[in-house]
Amino acid sequence: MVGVFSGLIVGVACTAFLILSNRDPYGGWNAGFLALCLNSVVAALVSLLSPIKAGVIAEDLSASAPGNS
Amino acid sequence: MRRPSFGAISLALIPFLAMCFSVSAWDRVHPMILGLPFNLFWLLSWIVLTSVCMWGVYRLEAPQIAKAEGRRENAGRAQ
Amino acid sequence: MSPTAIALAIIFFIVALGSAIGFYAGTRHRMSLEQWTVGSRGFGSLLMWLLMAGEIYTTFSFLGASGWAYSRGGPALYILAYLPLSYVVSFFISPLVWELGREHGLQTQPDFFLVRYRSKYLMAFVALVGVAFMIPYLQIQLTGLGIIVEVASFGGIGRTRAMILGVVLLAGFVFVSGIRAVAWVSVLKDFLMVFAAVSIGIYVPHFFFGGIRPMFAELARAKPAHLVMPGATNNLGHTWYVSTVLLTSLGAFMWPHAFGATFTARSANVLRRNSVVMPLYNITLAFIFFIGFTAFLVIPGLTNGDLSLLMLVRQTLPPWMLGVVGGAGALTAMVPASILILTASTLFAKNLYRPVFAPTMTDDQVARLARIMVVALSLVCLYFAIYSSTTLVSLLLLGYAGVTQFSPASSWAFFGSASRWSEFSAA
Repeated sequence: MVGVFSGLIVGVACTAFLILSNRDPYGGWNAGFLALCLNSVVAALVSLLSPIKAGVIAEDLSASAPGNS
Repeated sequence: MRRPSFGAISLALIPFLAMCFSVSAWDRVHPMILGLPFNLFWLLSWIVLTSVCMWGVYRLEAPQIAKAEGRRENAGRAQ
Repeated sequence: MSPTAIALAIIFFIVALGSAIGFYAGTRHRMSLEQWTVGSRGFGSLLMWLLMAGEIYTTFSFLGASGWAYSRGGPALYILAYLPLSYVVSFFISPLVWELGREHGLQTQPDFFLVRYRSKYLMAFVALVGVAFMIPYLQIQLTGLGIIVEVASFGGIGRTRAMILGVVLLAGFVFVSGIRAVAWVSVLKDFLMVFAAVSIGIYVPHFFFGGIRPMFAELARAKPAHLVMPGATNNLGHTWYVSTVLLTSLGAFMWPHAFGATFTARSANVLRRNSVVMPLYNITLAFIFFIGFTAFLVIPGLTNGDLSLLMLVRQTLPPWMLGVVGGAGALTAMVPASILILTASTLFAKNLYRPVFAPTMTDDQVARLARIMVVALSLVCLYFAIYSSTTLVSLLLLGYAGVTQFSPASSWAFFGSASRWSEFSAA
């Protein structure tokens, strides 16, 4: 959860910054696409770097699995 | 989750290769086909071929989908 | 009757007919929140197809695509590529979303994030971002409505007044009808839209050049650079094309309304079959490109490319046809706008306001707040539509850039933890 949440925040912030400051396209790339890449990288890194939270994700998922709810 | 089969994924990647990644190979005016610039003709053909590919994917996936749905129904009855 | 009166009368008639269908379809069902937003999950292939198709042909494809073919040239081709590719993506994801939606009685995209990630703050954030980036998409539809009435009235009715009129109609329509009504109105809308696109796309090049082939031959002779990327721009080359097509095809399904539309389907297989057929529906876009390219040759110099289609129609076709095209265009703005506004107001009330600020609200109160939000959001979009001057395509790309940020979280929800999923599908 923490991983995808951080990724999402970074992605949205990056999109807003690049587009609102008229930097789209940025270096020939679509600004939203660059933000998406950053978003994925941050999501993956944060998920990997927070092992305790990763445990929580597994728990969260089992709690939300249809059989248990 | 039952992951889509390798065949289905590869078939689904074909439209992406044809319409997206290969752009520098087909983005030109000549040869004009049926009176259309080459890039326009190429994309229009691939709109049709995308449907064909997805039909193939559907055929490949259909047996497993049917199986999974049958299993879920059985599980529902067991409860 | 003057040409203006004929054109406006026909536009008005078409819009009234569309609204009548909507009111009729809407009043036959009692409106709980679920009925209003997901039509009680009873949509079979036909209605589902209509709803999905209703989301493809928006004012964006009608005026925006021809506008970019006119003003930018080659880079506009991305529009032909991303829609078919977005169905390739949704073939794999939408059945999974539907499945989870049925198990948990989900109505909206943030609902999905709540059951998958168990965080009401993530849900509220998704709702906030969703609403924020739907505003430019809504703004496209309002601006489109304004352009149509402005051109059809030969400038007699200003764009601002036209947009205010459009907003009133739109809010009233959404207020009483709900998602089922919108799906039925899109039948009329798509019929008119395809008729208008194909007939102008064939007629106009024929009128000026004797056919589509000679039109392109002339364009390839006079301005070959306009037909390929980067066209009339200096920074929309192949790198931009690939990154934009990837972004938009991944993002098409991340629009809160498209995501939410899957919950209206009767079964997951309806969605899969849709994804197989829907790419074909984009063929009509070709005719819209023909119109934009013809306009580039015969009426160069418009400051706003988005006007090109209608200006060309006004010059070459009788007023009644301008009326039909304008009416089709007006519905093409209103149907998607209704879907957008319905989704955005539900998101705000149900997934943002209630969980964060007022956890004790009842469902009825949420439904009431959602209706108030219809009015509030309409006004916000009206404000932006009046005071901004970006092209329709740029607005759409802004929206896509925002909503596509949901895609890592959505794919992770399914593919991130395979072991959980084997249990899920066995359950």
